[in-house]
Amino acid sequence: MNSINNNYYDQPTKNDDYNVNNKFINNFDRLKLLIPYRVIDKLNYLDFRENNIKDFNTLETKNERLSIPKNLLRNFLGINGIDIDFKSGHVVLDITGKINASEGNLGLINSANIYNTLKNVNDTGLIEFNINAAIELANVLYCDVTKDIYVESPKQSIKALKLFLDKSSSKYKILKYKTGILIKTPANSTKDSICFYSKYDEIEKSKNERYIQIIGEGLEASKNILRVERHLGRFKSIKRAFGISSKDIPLMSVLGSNMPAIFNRLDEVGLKEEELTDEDSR
Amino acid sequence: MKTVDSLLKMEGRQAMLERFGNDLDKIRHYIRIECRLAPNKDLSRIMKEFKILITLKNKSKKQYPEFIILILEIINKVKEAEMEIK
Repeated sequence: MNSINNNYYDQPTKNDDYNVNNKFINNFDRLKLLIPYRVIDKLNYLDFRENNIKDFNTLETKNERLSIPKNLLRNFLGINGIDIDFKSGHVVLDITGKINASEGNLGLINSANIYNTLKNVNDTGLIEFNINAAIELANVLYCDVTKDIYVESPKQSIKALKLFLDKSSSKYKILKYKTGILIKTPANSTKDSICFYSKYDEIEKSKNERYIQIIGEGLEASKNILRVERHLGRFKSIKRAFGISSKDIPLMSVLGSNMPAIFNRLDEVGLKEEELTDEDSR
Repeated sequence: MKTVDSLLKMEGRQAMLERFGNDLDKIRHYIRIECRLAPNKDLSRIMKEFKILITLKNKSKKQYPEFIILILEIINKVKEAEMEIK
């Protein structure tokens, strides 16, 4: 496997999930990345073998696909999937913000902590790659842009949104999502949708004891968090949301974009100040 | 020592507006004293919320039911988080 040793990025000294020096940065709860196989330094053969994939070398030479088994991934918080396609020469890495969770910190991914995020993936030992090269060469296949809003009662806020949007049922479709709602326009699939849910209720409901243990007092602090997420699963939607004009969707173009992806989507689904305060539209 | 959020939660924004007669300077001063904030601590985000509440209070309650206020709060908080590039 090739090894690329260029140092494109400085390693941040500490995770910073939220705004850095008041500068706006987009936070992500989930990222699905397409990483060239050539940046991979090592695959942990033993872990694969333990999960009954007997002849790894044959797989590699036959240009087949390999997915790290879900039952193995369950042991690693924040990794949804690692799929290797030897034929196309890519690795699809599906990670969530939980990989950065720590005491008092629910964990999100952004431009300031991307190095540490990928380092956390490396530290699992499942797969090891050149982090700087991966950051430079990765493309985004899917992402959830996330904003945590502090409100008095997330449940009341969700009810209010439902009440308002229900009245415009022809314009929007409202689906139940986790401990909240998901809004999509009938024309769009859920691949460009926006959702609101109570973070505290979601953590409680998930019964993910390991995660709850890691975030510690973060659970109590999440009681007032209304999580807003925009799910982007189409290339066209991702490019539009982050103002990307290139053919590919480089990871840093997404993480470094200063486009207000969530606010713009709120506007598109009719959640805008003018519409709410205009008596005729209610 | 109280944080700004815990103070607001404890006292309630509406109650503070009534207590200080919608005077934002007095509210700002009160928050600084209660939370022992440095003079250069930026309170613009908090004060913007108070401004919205005053605006909404000035409209009739019939025109702006509670659920609209809650949604406006969400929109405003997303907007302020995403739009204010400093």
